[in-house]
Amino acid sequence: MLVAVLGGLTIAVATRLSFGTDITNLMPEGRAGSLADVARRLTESDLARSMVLNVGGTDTATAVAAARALAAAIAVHPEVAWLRTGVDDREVEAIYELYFPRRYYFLASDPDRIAELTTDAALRAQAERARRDLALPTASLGKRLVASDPIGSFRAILGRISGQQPALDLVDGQFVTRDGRFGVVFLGTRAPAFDGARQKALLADLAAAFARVNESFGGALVLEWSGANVFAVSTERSIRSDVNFVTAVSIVSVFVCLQLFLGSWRNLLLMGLPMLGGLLAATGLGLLVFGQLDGLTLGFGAALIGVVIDYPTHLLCHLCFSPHRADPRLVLRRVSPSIALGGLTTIASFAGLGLTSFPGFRELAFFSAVGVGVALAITLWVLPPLVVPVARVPLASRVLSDGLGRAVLALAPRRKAMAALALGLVALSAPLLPRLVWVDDMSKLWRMDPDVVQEDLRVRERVSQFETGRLVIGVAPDRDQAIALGEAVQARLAPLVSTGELGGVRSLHTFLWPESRQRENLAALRADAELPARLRAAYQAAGFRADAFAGFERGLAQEPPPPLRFEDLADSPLADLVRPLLADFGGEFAVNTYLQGLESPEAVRRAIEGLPGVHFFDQGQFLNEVYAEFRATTVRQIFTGNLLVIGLLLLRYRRLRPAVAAFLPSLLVTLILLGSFAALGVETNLLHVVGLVMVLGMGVDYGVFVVDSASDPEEMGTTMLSTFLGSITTVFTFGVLALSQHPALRALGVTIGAGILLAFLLAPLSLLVLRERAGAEVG
Amino acid sequence: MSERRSALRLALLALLTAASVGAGAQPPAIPSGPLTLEALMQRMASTTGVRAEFREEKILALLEAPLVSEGTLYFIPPSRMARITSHPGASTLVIDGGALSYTDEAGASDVDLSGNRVARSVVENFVVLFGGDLAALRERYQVGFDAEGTRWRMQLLPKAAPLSQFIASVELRGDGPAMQEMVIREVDGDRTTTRFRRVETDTHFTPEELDRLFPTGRIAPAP
Repeated sequence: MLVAVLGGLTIAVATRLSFGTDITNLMPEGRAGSLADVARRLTESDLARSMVLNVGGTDTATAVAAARALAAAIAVHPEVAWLRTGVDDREVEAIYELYFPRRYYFLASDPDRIAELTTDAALRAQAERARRDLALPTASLGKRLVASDPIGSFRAILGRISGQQPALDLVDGQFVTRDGRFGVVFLGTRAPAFDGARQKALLADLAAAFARVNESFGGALVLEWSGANVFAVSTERSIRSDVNFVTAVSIVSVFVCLQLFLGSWRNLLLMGLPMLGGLLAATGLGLLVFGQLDGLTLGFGAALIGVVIDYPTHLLCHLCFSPHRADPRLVLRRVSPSIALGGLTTIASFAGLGLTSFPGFRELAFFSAVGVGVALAITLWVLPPLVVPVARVPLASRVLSDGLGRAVLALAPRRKAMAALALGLVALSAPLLPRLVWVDDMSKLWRMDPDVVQEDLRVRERVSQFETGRLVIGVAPDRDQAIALGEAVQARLAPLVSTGELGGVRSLHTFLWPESRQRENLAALRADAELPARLRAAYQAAGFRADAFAGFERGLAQEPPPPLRFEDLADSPLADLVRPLLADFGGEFAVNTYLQGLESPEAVRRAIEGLPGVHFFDQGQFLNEVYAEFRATTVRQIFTGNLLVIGLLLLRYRRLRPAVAAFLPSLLVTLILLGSFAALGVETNLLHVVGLVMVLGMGVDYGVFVVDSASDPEEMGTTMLSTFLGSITTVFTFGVLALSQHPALRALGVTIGAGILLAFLLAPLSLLVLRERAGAEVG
Repeated sequence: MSERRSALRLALLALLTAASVGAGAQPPAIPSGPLTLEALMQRMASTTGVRAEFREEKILALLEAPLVSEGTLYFIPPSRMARITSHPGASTLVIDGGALSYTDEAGASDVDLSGNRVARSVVENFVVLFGGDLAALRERYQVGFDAEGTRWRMQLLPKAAPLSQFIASVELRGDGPAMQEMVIREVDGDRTTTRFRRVETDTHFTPEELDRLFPTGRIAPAP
């Protein structure tokens, strides 16, 4: 029946399994418009999904042709949402159609400045400039503007918008880098940057498309690319390689070790049943509750479910090797409460995770608790009848069981020695704790491929892109106020651009001003009744005919179209340019100002100080702060979880001593681990804390097993054998991660590996707290 | 339009051309026979570089008086051109393989011509003409040509927008490979007449001169 249930679960999970790799699940939830909300949306934004491809050739013409060929090859790819290789003629036309009839609306962001722009001197300067422009070969185009826009309103609009284009040259309509070596293709992906599977397939297809183009160009081309997806795929590939190595090592080691000690393939396979059932049930129920499971949740959850290896190990060891193995019912009666308590304390320690504001943590708590619960149930109710007694206890188990049992029982009466050891460990470790260095810089947790980092830098330098991770965000209750906020931000940042502290800004203000401002501009211009005559005079002085500007005078008097609105832009070919600049957050609006050449974040912070609802947003710093909170939450959860664990232990034993005795080893392990990290100067991070959660779960199990075996000295050897097997298999499974090249995985491996070994070694110290000699405390 | 045949004059033209070339590279001679459009453009396409002084006079409806500019024009095949104006003010327009930039006394370019398809079409006319790109010329214009001896006249009528929206016709006159005059008539009646003098065809520019004229450092196609 179990096989049928597991089979059914496997089919259900396999057909419905849907992974997410949504990094936002590991961000705290926040109300609409909060920085947390903004951060979540940014990771899904068009900008986060964009890539830059630089195609290098032997000369500019080759680079241009190759970039075009590559763009043509990938344009139809279903994962490519958009491509941009140059300035789109439709955008140019849209700019004219939208702005030229409304040019006077956009004369000055501060209408008070209109008087300055229309002084006699300013008009004379405009006229001189217009005359100079007429001498250009392109005068056939510009002269039409001179007559209809002699004060240069439209020219100013064009200047602002052209400043938003990438700092690239255009050769035959194709973007090329300033040095002419690379044709540039911008593209947007449909999948989020962190959707590993889809992004990996896309990058492979892009590489294949380039290989074909390169072949057709004689093989002399170079492709360099940049994008968040490139980092995500590279890191995933590297982690997968590490995990594959670890998996291979651990599977072989665990099987050899268990076969050596269990002496039965059937029993060995049975040991995997609780974990398999727990994983399947957790995944199935997780899918049912959450719709899909996050890859990170699944990874961490599976690791935490690894704790359950203790239960079948403990059961099997006692059923097969206990001195009372001839009476399986007696054995079951003795070990079942220990296993049940171990399982419940583990569930309690994980349950606290669900009380945080991180959606990912809630998924993780649910997943782990369900997994552990089901594994526990399988261990207690399914495995016992399936276990086959071994005819002869394997030599390794016999020797280890006898040796460990004797050693622990010999230690039991030496309370002073144990007390000295425990106190010594506390005295050595506790003072070191304040020296712990917590690192929450997520960039340090994953080892980025240096080649990928260098390539990204090269591409970004050549293209001079606006930063996507550091920007100024203003949040307002409605769209008009958001547009006004964008204007205020622009005004505050403009001086930084003038002084070179900022290379440039990409702002909604370039494209759109508040409707009230637009109307004020026109009103201010019309208010100067003498303007037409003064303008005529200034231009006449520069050699223009007196009647050349009748169109201007008529245009100023005519009723213009209604002020430009965001909807007008969003419905035009300029939509792609303006959409990232204003976001609807479901009731609130965020206006984003992107920065280029940011030298001093502090200067930007100072500049926007006092603007309501405006923040300088540094995604890297924000994520680090999120993960610092993430870590702090986990540490708090450890305390909360452990209080629940102690409560459960008190409920089970109804006395303080055995409860404290069962808890003591895990407490000591925590102190020693953290003290060691501090002494060795190990920079501790979130992954150390996650590892600690698992170590604590298993440490309490070991304490419970030892305390429960204290009533029967004959069982102590078997109990120590089971804890040894549980710890050694865990070290093989997770401790090997310590060999990983990634700091994050290394942190997990070191914490779990060293922690579990310590938990095993210190488990006998539980006997220190028990009042009577082993065998008399718990009846 | 007629194409006269004058083997003698063409031979003379070939000699004159050879004389204007430095001792190193020798451009292909115009084949003996009548001066055809193809032969002329082939000759222009084979130049190592052109330097010419120009005087441009624009008669515009907007202005009371003609607008006169003077300066020097440089062309390096296949697609680099610099138009440096010395009068009435200093300005530089550079076309470099399809990228365009303009600077004047105020400093950096204030109009990015490269982003404007129409502006590019207008300015690239010069490159097409000086580069002797007959195919590109015929793609844009109906081409009329007649010659008398070494002297020739070419008339260009834009075939389609955007050129036809601005330019009514272009008329060029020259002697041998050297262009002497270009008259652009616009659809609104405005007219620009550019006269070239001291035309040096097959000029070899030093790397320093090229760096000065085209400071962007763009890579030239491999020979």
